[in-house]
Amino acid sequence: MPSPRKLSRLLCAALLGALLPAAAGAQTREVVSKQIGVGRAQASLRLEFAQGDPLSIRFDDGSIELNDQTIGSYDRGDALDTAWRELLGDAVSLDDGALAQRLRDWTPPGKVAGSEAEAAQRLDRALEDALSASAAPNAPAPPSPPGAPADMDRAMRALVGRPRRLQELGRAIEDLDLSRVQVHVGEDVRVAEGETIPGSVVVVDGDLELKGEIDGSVVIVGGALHLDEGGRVTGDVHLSDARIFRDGGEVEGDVSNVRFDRGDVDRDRIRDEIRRELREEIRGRERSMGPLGRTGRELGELLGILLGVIVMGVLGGGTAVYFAREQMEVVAEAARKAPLRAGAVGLAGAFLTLPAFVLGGLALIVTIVGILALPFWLVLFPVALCLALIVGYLAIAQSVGEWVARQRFSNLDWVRVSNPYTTVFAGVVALSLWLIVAHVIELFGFLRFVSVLLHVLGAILTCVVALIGFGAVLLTRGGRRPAYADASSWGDPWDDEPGYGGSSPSPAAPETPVEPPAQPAGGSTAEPPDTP
Amino acid sequence: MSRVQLALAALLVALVAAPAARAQELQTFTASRRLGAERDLHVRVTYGAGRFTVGSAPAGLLYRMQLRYDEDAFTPVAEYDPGELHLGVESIKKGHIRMGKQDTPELQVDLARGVPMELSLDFGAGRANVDLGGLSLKQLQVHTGAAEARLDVSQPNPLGMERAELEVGAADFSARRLGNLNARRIEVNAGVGDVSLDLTGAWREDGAVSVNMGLGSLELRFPEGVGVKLHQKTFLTSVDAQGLVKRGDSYYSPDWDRTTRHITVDIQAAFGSIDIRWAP
Repeated sequence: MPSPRKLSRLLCAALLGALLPAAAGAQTREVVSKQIGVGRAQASLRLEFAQGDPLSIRFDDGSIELNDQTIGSYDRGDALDTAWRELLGDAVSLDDGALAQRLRDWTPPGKVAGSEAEAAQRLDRALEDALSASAAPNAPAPPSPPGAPADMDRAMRALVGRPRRLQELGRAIEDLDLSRVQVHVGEDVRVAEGETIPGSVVVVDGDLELKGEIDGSVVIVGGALHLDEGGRVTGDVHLSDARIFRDGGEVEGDVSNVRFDRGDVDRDRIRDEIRRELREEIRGRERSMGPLGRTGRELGELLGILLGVIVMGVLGGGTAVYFAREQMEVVAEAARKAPLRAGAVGLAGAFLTLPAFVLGGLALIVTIVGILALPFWLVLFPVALCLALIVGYLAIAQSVGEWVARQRFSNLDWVRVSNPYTTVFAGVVALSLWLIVAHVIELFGFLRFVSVLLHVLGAILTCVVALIGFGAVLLTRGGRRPAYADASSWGDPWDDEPGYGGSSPSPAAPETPVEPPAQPAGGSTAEPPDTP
Repeated sequence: MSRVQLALAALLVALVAAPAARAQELQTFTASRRLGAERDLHVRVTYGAGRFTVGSAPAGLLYRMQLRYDEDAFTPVAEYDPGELHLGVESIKKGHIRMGKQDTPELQVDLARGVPMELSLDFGAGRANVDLGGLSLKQLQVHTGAAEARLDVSQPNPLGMERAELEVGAADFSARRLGNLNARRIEVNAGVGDVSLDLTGAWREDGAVSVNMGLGSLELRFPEGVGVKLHQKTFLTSVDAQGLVKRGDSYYSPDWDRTTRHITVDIQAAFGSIDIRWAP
C-alpha cells in the first residue's frame, strides 16, 4: 500500500496535467497547445501535440479546410457549421485530456447534405486520428505508476471520464500548495479527534468529517465538509459543488465557493468589471473632484456668471439704453401694465416664430422676385428675434432696477431711476441673483437641495421674464408704438394693480429728479428722490 | 460647459456613435499552451487599442490568451518558438480602429508564474490593467501610448532584475508596488499626463529610479522604513517634497542614514508638479 504522501503526489501530478494525459493516454493524445478563433465568417481550431504534426481545421466563409487543404464546403449557419461552432465553444474552456476527449467524442450532425457529409466524416476521422495516442510517432508508453492500487486506478478513470469534475477540481486547487496534499477520490474521509493531518486535503466526490485538525487547506469537490466540535482547518476551505456544515469547528482562513458554471464565471467577470470600472470612475471623480477641486470649479462657474452678468448688464444694457432708450421704456411700460397679456403674446410668439420663419422664406421663394431677399431674411430674422428677446429682457430688467432704486437699499444709492444705465444693470443683477446665490451655496458644499431649487425657480423666472419681455416687444412693435403700452385699450384685469412706474401713459420716464409723493409707495407716481 | 450642455453633448455623441457600435462585430480568439520544460522565455505582447489585461496563468499553462478583435483591422498573433513567445495582434489596415462602449476590443494574456522571462508589453490606446505579481521576471519593458494604464506587482518577483523600463506616452499611468519587481534600476519615461509611481513592496536590495517627465503631474509614493534620496532637475515644476529634508542638492528622508534599504530617485521634469507621498 503506498503511503499517503506518495498517493497525493501521484494524484496531484495527475490532476495538474501530467497524469491526465497519461491516464487518458491509452485513449487520447497529449495536446500541448490550442488556438481557437471564432468570428462572423470563420471558426478555426489549431492543435499542437507533444510529438507529431499539428492539426488545423478551419471553417472559412463557406470553405472547410483541413491542414490548409480544402476538403469541402458548407453553408453558413447550417447544421455542420453550428455543430462545429458548438464544439469550439466547449473546447475554449477545456484543456489537456478533457479537451482531447471532447474533440475525439465529437460526431458530425446527421442532417447534412451529401458532399458536406463527406467533408464532415473526414473531419471526424481527422480528429479521431490526430487525437489517438497511436497517432503520435514513437509515442512513449504511458507511465503506469508502480504499485498503484486498483481502487485508485478506478478513481482516476472515473475522474478522467468526467471532464467537468476535473475542471472544477482544477479551479479549486489553483492556489493550493501541492507539495503537501492528500487527495481522496470517491470516498469519505474522517479525521478523528486529536488527529492532525499535515498539509492540505482534497476530497472529490466524497465527504470529509473533521473532528481533528488539518494543517493546511481543504478542497471539497462534489461532497460536503462536516466541521464538528474540535475540528480545525488552519488554511482556507474551497468548495466546488459542495457544502459545509459547521458544528463548532473553525476555519482560520477563508471559505470560498468555487463555481465552474461558465455562465456564472461570465457573470462574475462582468460584475467584477463593472465594479472595477465603477470604483475607478468614483476614484477618478474623487480625485478630480476633491474638496479643493470642487470649490475651484464652483468658484470658476461663479466668476463666469458674474462676468456674464456684468457683460449683459453693462455692455448689453448700456448699448440698449444708448441706442433705444425710448423704445425700451415703451416696452417696459407695456410689460408693467399688462404682464399677463405680454406673457401670453410672448408665448404665442415663441411658438409661432419657427412657422413664421419658414413661411416667410417660402413666401419669398414663391414670389420669385423675393428670392433675392431670401438671404437677408435667413440672416435678419434670427438676428431680429435675438434682439427682440434681449431688448425685452433688458426692458424688464430696467423695470426691476427702477423698483430696486425705489426701495432705497443701503449701498445701492447709485441705482437711480433717472439713470437708466444703473437701473438696467441693477435689474440684470437682480434677475440673476438666484443663479449667483445658488453657486455661492454650492461653493460651500452644503444645502445643495436649496441650490437645485434655486436653479429650477431661477430658470422658470428667466423664461417668464424673457417671454413677457418678448411679448411686450411684439405688442409695442419693438417699442415704436407707445399706444400699445396703454393697457386700458385692452381691458387688462391687471390695470387695477398699480405698476412700478405708475399709470402714466408717457413711455418716457422723467429724467429729472422728482420729489417723493405723499401717498404710499406703489402709487401712480411713486418715484423716489434721486440724489445726483 | 454646463451640465446640461454636457448631457446634450453626450446624448449627441451616443446617438452618432450608436450605429457604429452596433455595426461592429468582434471576432474571438483563444489560445493556450501547456507548460513544458521552458527554462528561459522572451515574451512580447503587442496590442493596439482596447482593453488590455495581463495576469498570471493557472498552473500547468505556459500562457493563455483571450482576444476579441476587429477582424477587418487586425489579425491575432500567438507564436511560440522555443525561447520566444509573441502574443497580441498585428494591424492589417491602418486607421481603422473602431471602439464602442458596447463592444470593446479586448486582450487578456495570462503568463506562467514559474518560467523565467524577459517581458515586453507594447500597448497603444485604451485601458490597460497589468498585474505582474508572481511572474518570474528577468527584464521588463512596458510601452504605452495614449492609454489609461494600471500596472501592479501584487506579489514579489522571485528573480532579480537588472532593469525595468516603463515608457509612457500621453497617458494616465499608475504603477503600484514597484518594489516587488526586485529591480535594481527602474526607468520611467513619460510624455504627457498623470503618472503615479508607488514604490512600495518588498525591496530586497537598494534600488535606483529615474523619471524623465515632460508635461504633467507625477506622484511618487514611498514605503516608510526605506531610505529615500531624491534628486530633481526641473523646469517650471512645483515640488511637494513632503517628508523629505533638503541636504545639498538633494532631498533625503530623515531616516536615510539609519535604514538598510535605500531608494535613489532622479527626476527630470518640465511643466508640471511632483508630489511625494508616504505609505505606511
